[in-house]
Amino acid sequence: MIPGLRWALPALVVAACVGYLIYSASGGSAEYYLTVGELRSHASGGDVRVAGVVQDDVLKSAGGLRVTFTEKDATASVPVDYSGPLPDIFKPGITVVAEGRLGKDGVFHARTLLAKCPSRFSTTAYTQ
Amino acid sequence: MLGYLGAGTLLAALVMGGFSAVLSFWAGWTQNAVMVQVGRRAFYTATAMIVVAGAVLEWALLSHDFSVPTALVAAGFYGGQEGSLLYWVMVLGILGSVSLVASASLGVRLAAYAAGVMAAIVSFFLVVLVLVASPFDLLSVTPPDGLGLNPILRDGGMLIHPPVVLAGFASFAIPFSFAAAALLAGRTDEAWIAHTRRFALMAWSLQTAGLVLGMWWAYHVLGWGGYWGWDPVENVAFMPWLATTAYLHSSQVQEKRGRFRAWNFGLVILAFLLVIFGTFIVRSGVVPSVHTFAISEIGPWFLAFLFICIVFSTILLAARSQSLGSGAEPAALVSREGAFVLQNLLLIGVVAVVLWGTVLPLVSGMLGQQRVVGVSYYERAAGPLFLLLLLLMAAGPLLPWRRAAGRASVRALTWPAGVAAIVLIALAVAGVRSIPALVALPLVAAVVATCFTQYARLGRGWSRLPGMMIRRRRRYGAYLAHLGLAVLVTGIAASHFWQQEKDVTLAPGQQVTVAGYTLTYAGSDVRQLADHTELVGSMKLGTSTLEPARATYAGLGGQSLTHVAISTTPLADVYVVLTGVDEAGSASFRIFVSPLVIWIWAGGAIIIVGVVLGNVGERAAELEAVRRRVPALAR
Amino acid sequence: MTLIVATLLLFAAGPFVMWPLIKTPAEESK
Repeated sequence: MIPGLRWALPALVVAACVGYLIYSASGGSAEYYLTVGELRSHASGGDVRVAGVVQDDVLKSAGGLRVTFTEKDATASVPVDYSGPLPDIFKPGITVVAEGRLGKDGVFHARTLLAKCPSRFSTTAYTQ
Repeated sequence: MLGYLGAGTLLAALVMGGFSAVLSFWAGWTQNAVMVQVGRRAFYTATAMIVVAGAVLEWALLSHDFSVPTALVAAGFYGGQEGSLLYWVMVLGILGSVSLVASASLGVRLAAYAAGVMAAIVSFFLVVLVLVASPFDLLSVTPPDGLGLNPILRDGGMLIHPPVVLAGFASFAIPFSFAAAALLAGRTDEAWIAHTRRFALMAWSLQTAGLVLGMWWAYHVLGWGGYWGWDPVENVAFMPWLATTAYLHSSQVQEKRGRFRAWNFGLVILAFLLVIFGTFIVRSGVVPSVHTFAISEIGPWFLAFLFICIVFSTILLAARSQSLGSGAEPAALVSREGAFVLQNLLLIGVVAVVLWGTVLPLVSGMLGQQRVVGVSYYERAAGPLFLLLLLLMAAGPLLPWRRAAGRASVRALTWPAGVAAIVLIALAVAGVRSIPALVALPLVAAVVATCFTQYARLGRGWSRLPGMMIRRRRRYGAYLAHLGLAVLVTGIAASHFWQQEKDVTLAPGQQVTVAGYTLTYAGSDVRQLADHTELVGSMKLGTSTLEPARATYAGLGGQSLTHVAISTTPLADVYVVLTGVDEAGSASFRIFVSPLVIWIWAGGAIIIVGVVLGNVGERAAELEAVRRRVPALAR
Repeated sequence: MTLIVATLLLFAAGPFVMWPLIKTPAEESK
């Protein structure tokens, strides 16, 4: 007799529960992660994440709590509108990930904005 | 010059490590005790060479003039990609050497194979260091402006967090090596567990400390009011911790009762594989993350190593599967053993949840459109599992060994159940309606009650209590660690369920009230410091002044950094971020009030204290007890 | 240069590593 066969049934029950939890939780909250180029052709209605590079046209207002900028990757660009605190390293040239929705006005309304954290010990000298 | 010295030392270490691995395996196979000793010495020598290489790297860093504080330059050792690998293999070598010193008593074959496996792992790291990612290549090129350590990383937390996390990863290779050696040598008894228990505890403690330090750093520095984002880098440090936690508990069952052999081998291997897998994920850039490490070529190497380790472990387990049973009649389902099995299953379940969330972008990207999960996935999928684990923490220690729980257990459970009921009623009366909170907090209270009933069992008179606690300290240290976890979980629950947040723009003299705390904006101020300017927006909170600021580093392209101002009390943190000041002098703030945050850090500290106090000394007595039960232990 | 350093170190470490081998025949031949 395989030792621990008695535990096989509880193990299966737990595994089934875990599988169900994973399945039901990811159904609701998985978001598509797109490049700027894919954004316009993406159809679904939910929130998406877009990664791109901040361009030079950063406009801040209301004391830093709201910013508009254009995000661009190799193929396309999209204007982004965001309200909230900016990541510390936010400035033109950095890569950001914006989470939100592309509005009918062609502007991406971002709910959250994340910047890529810098490498710990960078050997590339910072340029102006 | 130093570059050649360092690179040469690493190359010598690689040769020595490879030699140690090959010789140790051969010597174990042929049971040649003298050659086993030679193999061990080769391992010690390789370690010494690695330490020398590390010293050379540190010397080279410190003797460059970077106009950056010394502590930060010293930290550059493990801060860079290559240096962090050197640090890792150094910790592995040193701890491995310590574990090998007394290993002869385990038997020639087991000791030889353990040295062989450890030397093989060390050699892998050295291959990567020598061929792909040499820390000494960097130094032959002097950067123009010095290595401008990014200001966001110039923080005390960032100095301690990486070496602690890395040491936690590295030290887990020791239990793994001895487990693999035990399987290779056909010695599935508890000798390897008893010998490596200290190292497993150390690894777990380091991982715990590393996680809590990371949370503390993120909270204090990043300015988003939180401490955990389920980012791949965080997940990759969390998963081994879960497996190690399961292993720590499960291995006690084997030490005391000789059972759970298959579980323990499986868990130790799982934890080690998760560490390698995590390293691959984080350093290869295959999964999008907020933390970018320098994406380098070492990713594929770790993937290959992971594959080799998986194949090796699977073959070993399959080959020895016959001898993994303890031969005894299985215990009842609702017994202490049953509780440990359920704990193992649940913890592995959480690993599965986190693993899926972490690799989904990779898998979905390969099959079609890349998708990522949000924070709510982890909460919805892992939350119920965590709650069940809390329940186990409260009920498990009260269950009997082997037999099914009977009336005595039900009586023992009345204390925790009663305390839980009281807390539940109190919460409901206070107006709490969130289901997770209504389940979690009573369960935490039950855990605390259980710990105290365990302490109470000692007392047959208060005067005997201290003596008993010292003699049975392993057990009571563990309950102290459980209490620490209860405190930590309470802190997380309170700050998670009841955090309040407000965005506000104030003119000087204006006030804002958040969650009963009133802050008055006193005015802004620009201060010039050595390498940066600070824009400070002072807020008065009661009698104290908070000074959230934005620092701008002109020498680094005008990069700015948030300095968060936090007022901490045992009840709550008032956390203020300055987002900007306009021309009229009005300042914009984001304010968080998070209850019981300090309980998180305090809980973490109590856990470590519990583990340390519970395991000081006493080694000889433990080993003797195991030796009596394991006839194969050579003496 | 790297190779020279490595070789020197390996030679220097040789006696320490090989000591159990050197020691045993010496005892046996006593």
